[in-house]
Amino acid sequence: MAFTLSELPTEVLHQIISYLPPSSVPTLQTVSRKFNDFPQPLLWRDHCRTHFKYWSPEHSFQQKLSGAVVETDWKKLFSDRYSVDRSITRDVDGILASQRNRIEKAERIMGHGYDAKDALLRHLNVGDHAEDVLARRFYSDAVLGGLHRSMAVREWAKLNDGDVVPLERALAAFDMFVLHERDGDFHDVATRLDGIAQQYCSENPENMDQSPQQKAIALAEFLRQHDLTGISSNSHYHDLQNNFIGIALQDGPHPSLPLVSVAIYCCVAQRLGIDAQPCGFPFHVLAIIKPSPGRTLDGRHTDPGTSSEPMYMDPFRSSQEVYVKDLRAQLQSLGISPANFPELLGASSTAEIIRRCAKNIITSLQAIPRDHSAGHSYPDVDGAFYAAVWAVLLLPEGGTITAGAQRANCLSHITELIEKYFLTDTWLIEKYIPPMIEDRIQHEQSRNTIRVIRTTDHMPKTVKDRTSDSVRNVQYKVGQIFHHKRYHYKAVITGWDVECAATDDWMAHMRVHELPGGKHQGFYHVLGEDKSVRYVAEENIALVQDDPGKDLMVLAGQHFKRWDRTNGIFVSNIKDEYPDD
Amino acid sequence: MAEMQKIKLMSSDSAEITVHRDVAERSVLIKNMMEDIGEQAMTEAIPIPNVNEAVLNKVIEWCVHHKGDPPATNDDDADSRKKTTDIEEWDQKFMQVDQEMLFEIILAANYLDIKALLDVGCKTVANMIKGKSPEEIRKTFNIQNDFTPEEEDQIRRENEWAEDR
Repeated sequence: MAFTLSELPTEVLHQIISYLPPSSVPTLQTVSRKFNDFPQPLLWRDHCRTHFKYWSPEHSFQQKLSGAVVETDWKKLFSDRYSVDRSITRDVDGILASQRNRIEKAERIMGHGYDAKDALLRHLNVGDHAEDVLARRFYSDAVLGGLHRSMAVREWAKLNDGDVVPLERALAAFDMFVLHERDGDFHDVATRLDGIAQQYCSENPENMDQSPQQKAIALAEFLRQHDLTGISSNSHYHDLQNNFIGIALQDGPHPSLPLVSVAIYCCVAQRLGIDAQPCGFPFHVLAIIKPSPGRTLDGRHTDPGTSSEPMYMDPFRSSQEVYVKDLRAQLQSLGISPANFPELLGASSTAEIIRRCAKNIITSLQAIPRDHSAGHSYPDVDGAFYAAVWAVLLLPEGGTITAGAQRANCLSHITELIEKYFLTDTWLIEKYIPPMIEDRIQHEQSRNTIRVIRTTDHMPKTVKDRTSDSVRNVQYKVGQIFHHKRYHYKAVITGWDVECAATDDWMAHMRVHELPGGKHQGFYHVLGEDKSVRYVAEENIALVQDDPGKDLMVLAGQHFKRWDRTNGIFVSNIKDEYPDD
Repeated sequence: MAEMQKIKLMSSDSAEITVHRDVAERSVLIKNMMEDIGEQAMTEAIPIPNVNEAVLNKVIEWCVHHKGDPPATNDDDADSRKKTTDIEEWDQKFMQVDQEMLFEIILAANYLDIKALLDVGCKTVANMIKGKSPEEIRKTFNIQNDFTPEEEDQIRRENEWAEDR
């Protein structure tokens, strides 16, 4: 008698079903009773684990995994995530299909929290041959960036509200601003630090019997040996990446500034039961290690009520203890009044460390040569600067007169950057800004800009077709690449006007009247490979047949579907605005 | 000279088939059996009571082709990548048999404990299920729909999330 599918042994059926894509399993279940009743205790847990890497914290996914299988409805969990992925795909497709309501759709995606990340990464990693590859990558990266930034901003806001935020998390928030599709998020940073602490324990089995002082020195030695603190000779002190704890903890050499080195040191030390915190010494962050109550750092008991001395470490430079008398001498030589010594030699709050890291980032950015700031370096300079201004805005230095001006300045930068690069963050500024800014004018200006962004998002684009005669003088098309005849930069055309439509002020400033063609010639909106957006007269355009190059290829996704190599032109994704181009 | 050694297998329908020992030992069942009974195995035919001649020949054909394969690794750990249902070309052709034979091969591979062959068989069946509607699956595998209309309706609603929309 021949066998049928339903009669195969249970373990074989299990194996067959395990090879089915998850969405085929329910279909099989609707075939007959046998398959509907088929026990699948581990199947859906496996699918959850293999199909989705990122989970919003509210799922407590790791906890579920380590619990008993029957405690979780894994099929429900999977189908919920699956439905989320689908709705994200619908919204990503919607964003690509029309320029209208893009921000709204992005916000809906970000509303799913970290659950949205897997789907966004899938779109971000779409194959080179996808019909809309550039646009898909550009917008999924933009939304993913918005998601990461919203998580970062939330941590800093919590910190400012007085909530406890672990140091590593507050610092990794900077990483979230420049992360894109890379590893090094909050979870990766915490896991990596756990791993380092474990490695330390297994390499130093005598750890348990050591005094805090011995441990503090041994740990500094260990971190230096593994290149986890300090900067090796082939890295520059002010390299932008040295400010990011997540980058420092990735594989390879781990260069970091003193602040980040100290943070790594303290976070690992805390995992080993040592009370280590950053100390905001001028120009060079140190670690301060305090004894536990009733004990000295070398492990002796003290009389209750007497407090014993802390010790200082400089894990960036060495594994030796730094003596407080030397630190006092340094402060004295800096001309600092001894009245301020206790503050400068005490532990810094996490908010102070974040502010200091933000200032370090700005210093690093100023050290970058101008021509290096373009393109897609990692970490990207706009993301890093944007992170720094958010940090200063959200964690204001209390009490100083300059703080208000500083905040207004940050708000102005943030508004400008949102308008230029980070439209997905419109809701962030709406959520976090209103109650906390004293500068009314700046406040009002920002609100206006945000209102305009919202309105523009909701409005359909004005259609600019080529049916009317007046358009005949517009020679070039959306998607063509050119060199600017006078300034020689390379850019792509993203729009046009039949004549200069800028304000009189702009025309006067740019001396449009000095152009042989004047203002009555085609004027083009263009996107430069350095990310700049410009407005160019037709007579300055020299079309080129070049390959667009890597930078322009990435940026072009904002307006174009893909690069058409045969015709040497970007394929428009703004047909709703320029139907005939 | 181990690779030159030949042994005899006896199918369920009493056919004797001679194979190289290393081919037969793709089957963990046979390998263990030979270790247990030792040299005696070289002289007497090993009975394979659950597999008939036609199927056994097919299984041996597969084992001969895959004789040089590296031993199977235990990559069942949790972090291994998503399961792929890709099947190499030769195996695809090999599995182009009628359904009855396909199931027989799977059962034989399961019984003889030839993991790689069982994998290929299961993947082949999975590929036959993939992308089909419930009605198409019933047709392909000759399965009776034994749900009441109410039950069917409820199950469909429960599984709506997986439907293509």
